[in-house]
Amino acid sequence: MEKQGVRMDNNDIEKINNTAKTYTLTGNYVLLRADETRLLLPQTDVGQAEYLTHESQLLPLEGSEGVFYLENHTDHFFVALSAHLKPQHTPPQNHFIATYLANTDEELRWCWHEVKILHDLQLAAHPLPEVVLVENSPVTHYVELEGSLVYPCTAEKLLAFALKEVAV
Amino acid sequence: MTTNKTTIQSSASFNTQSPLPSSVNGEFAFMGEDLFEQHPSSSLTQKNTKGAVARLLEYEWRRYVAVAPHTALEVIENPSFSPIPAAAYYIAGMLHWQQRWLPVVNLRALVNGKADDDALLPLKYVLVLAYQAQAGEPINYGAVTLHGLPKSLLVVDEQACELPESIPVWQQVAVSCFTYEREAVPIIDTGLLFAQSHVNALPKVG
Repeated sequence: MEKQGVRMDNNDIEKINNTAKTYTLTGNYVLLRADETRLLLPQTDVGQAEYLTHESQLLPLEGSEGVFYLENHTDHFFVALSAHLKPQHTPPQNHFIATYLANTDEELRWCWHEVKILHDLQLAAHPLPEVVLVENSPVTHYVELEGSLVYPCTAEKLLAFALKEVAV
Repeated sequence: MTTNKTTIQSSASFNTQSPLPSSVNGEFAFMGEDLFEQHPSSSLTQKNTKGAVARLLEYEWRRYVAVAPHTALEVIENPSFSPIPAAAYYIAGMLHWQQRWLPVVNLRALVNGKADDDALLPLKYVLVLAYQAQAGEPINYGAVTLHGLPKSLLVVDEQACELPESIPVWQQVAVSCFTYEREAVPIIDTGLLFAQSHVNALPKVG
């Protein structure tokens, strides 16, 4: 679907952030859903997904609020985002898929309800109205996908926002 | 969830010669019957009365703002919103309306300067408003949450008053103010409300 605007691909996302123009989002992306929040990250920003079979045993990591680990497995740490894109302070419930995101420590995994790879996307990304935005928000545009709003962003901006006040 | 819509007016009765502002410069002059609830104390039927009609919006029990009638387009009952991640604290979500997605401003949260937990509960009404970011730009749309149905009110110059300084956001979005039931009622310019962020306009404490 080609709509009026500037045609761009994954590599150009940095250029469009913080602009107020509609652009065409193209390429391969990964849909990451946490509760009702749906993010769309370039596929190159998202590592392999793994199922959390012991999620009920996620324990809070002392000294790092919002970071959890699996009992008897301290090689990986887990974070789940709230609707405000900040780490949840309570162990994530039913976030049964964990992924690695680019630009974070190797041992850190991000928990989601749903992870879906979307190939060859071509969607119009519309700017969010000014009244919605907060400073340094990783989300500046939205796309409509299967009747729902999905928010494109990059791992770099997402993590800079989410981990701003978190000691990991 | 289904959405019930109450199609409303905007009458062309706004007096552009009035000192009260018009944020969309009269481009919205919908004809038709005014279906807004009319407040019993208003004098809309009186002739030879100088003033202007305003839409009175109750955003919290007995707390009001007003807008120009031609900006108020449609009341939606029992709306459903799509959440926006990392949005400003006063944003209730995005509303799907006439093949568009509109930002919904929770006026109570905006005035109180903090996220409104009650916003998580079902909201009874939202009002779709028209705005222009600047003169000459295309008409755009947004919505605000309401505690009750809007009312029509005739406002006369004698009711003019100062904007309350305790709520800084009024300095950003209001262009005038009048008294109603002994309370100051800011008149909101919808362009100023929707075309800028208000995250730094927090109320004064104490």
